[in-house]
Amino acid sequence: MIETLLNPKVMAENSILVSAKLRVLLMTCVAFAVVLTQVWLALGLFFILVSYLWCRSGLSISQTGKRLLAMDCLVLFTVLLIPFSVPGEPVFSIIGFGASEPGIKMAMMILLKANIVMLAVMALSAGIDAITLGKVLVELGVPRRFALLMQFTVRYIEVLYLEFYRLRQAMKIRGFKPGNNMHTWRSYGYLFGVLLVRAFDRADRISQAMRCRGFRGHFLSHEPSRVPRCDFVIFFSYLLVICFIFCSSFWSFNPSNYII
Amino acid sequence: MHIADGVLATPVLMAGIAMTLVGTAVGLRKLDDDKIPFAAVLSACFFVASLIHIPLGPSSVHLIFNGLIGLLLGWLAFPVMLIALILQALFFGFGGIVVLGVNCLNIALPAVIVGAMLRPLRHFMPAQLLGFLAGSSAVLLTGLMVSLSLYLSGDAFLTTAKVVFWGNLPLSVLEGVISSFIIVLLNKVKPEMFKGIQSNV
Repeated sequence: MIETLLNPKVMAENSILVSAKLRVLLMTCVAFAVVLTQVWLALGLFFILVSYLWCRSGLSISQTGKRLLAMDCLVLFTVLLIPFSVPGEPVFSIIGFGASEPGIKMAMMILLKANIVMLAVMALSAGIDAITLGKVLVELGVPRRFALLMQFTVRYIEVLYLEFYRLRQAMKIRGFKPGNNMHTWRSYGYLFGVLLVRAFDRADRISQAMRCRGFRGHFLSHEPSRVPRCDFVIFFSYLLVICFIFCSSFWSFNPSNYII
Repeated sequence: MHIADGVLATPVLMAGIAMTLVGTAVGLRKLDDDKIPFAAVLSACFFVASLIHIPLGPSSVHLIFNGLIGLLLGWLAFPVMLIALILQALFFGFGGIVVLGVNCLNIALPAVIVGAMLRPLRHFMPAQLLGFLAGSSAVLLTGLMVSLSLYLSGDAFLTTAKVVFWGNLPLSVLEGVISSFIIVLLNKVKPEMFKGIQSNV
């Protein structure tokens, strides 16, 4: 799990929009547009757009499917009870509770929206690692301290995970098996406690080492990445498509008007 | 506790984003530049710890640690949680993008409240009690806020909100028990950690 943070498996070459900055921006736009849309037709068009982006990203089906499935379990739990709590004409009933049609539609729409956004996030963030993300966020105007905190956090997640792994190995060697008992909870409590203490000591050493090297809260060499003009053209054409789909949901589209 | 995109109503989402932005701004203002590596290492530590699954009943759960984060980091809980949630959303696929604001608020605000309330009291109660109160009350508040954000998004979520709240209770007890052991250990081994790393604590 940790390795996905630092070494994304897919490289960015075959994805659309070479520039990571524009991809993060586009991802946010798609997410907002999808969440704010309330119309099935527009959601369908978004789904087609995002599927296209996914095809271009070169992610494998199994990798994508696994992530979508993990998220769907969570979303399903959230929407499971909606059909039974929205009033309306019951379609079917389970032990006396009727599932209404508007409720089912609402639950389906939520499920679709969540999947579209997640697919967009995966397709557009493919090839961006956490360090690049930090740089991109600075360029997009996020406060410097926030981005710096993020880059440092990412750096030390790996280090502390290794520390955790060592402690966990030591527990396993001594025959520790987790279960539902006080012994397990105490052992985990002490494990996390030791992890915190070691993190604290390490933080102290890092702080001092960085001060020795003249760290005053920002890195000296930070060259902004240049975005080629053709990237902007591609970005704005995608943005146009998103705007078009989003606005189409406001037109009262009724097929019967067009069939004479 | 991650709410996915598309579930919540627009006003709830916008309120969450606005309040998270304010909280993050306050947190960043309280962070000295030379303390950034310090905050980052603790934030990474909590990130790693929250990835670990602990058996509870027939399944397993992961802890949130927002009570401890509030106790040790104070207002920094906002930027720390926001970073953790961005990383989780982008690289692990938990949660969503637009809902980041609400998710962060639901976890970080209880952390700040619990930290502010319990830190002055830490000399007046045993470490076990301090840990249990911090861990369980923060998770309890988070559960309440998640239910509230669902409930405010429409009557359709009323039942789900109730289920989330009650389902959260065993979690909060577990978090309290484990936090109490963590605080007992920290109190013995490194009591200076409780001084916090903010410049003005």
